[in-house]
Amino acid sequence: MVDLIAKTPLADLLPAAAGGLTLTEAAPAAITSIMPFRGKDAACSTALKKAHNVELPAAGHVAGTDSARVVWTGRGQFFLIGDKPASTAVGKIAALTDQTHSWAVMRLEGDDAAAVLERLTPVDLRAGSFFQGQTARTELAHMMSVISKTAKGFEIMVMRSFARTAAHHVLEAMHSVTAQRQIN
Amino acid sequence: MRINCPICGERDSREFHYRGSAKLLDRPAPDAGAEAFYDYVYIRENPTGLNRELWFHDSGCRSWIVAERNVTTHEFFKTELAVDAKRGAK
Repeated sequence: MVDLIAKTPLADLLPAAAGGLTLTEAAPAAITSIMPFRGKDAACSTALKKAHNVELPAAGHVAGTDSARVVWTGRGQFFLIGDKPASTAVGKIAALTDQTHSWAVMRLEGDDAAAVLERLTPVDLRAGSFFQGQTARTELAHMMSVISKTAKGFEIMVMRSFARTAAHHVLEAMHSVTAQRQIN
Repeated sequence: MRINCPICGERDSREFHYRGSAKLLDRPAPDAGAEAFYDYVYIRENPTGLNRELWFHDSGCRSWIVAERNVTTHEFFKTELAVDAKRGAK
């Protein structure tokens, strides 16, 4: 049988850099949307703990590690992102949807990362108000996005169909911030 | 203009979509008759001052929100999740 080679959403565009900033693609092996049935949040958290060793985070937060993390993505909705899709045990108390190939995931890193996003999103993502482990569902250059704070910067998720546009806007802002730093 | 989302906190109004009067939450009973439905679908107050309205946090947490806003000054007084307003806040 022919073994097809999967292409990630940003394979043609990233990695890229400007000044001390880098933009790379993080292509997680699996993304599953989890929407707990009404009143089943606690049971869902227990099932996730058992199957993936991670619990449901509070609204606006991320829990877990790179190999299995849960990102809050909206009212009553979470994404399990990591090496494996959500276990079928979780599917008994929550609606699961495979989102693996639906999202483009980027990592923006560098000291000026918040200054870059400042130009694209209305949420205050500066170090004093947005901390590691926090996530915001907001606009990125008028595209809906999920932006989470990581150890070295931000993880940015947009729908796959917006991958090229989102990368363009972030890169443009990276070059703009870098240019401004050279003038000042 | 900033709107206080009960889940996300205060956010820029560009993340929200305005849907109209919160009267939409008070759907008449199925047997209420044509007059009641005509009123529900088409008849709206046009107040100056306080208005109770529905906003959708579409670029954010995707919640329907009931907001009390002064339509003259654009000042927001109270926001709550529409689901709480409808089912009764816990």
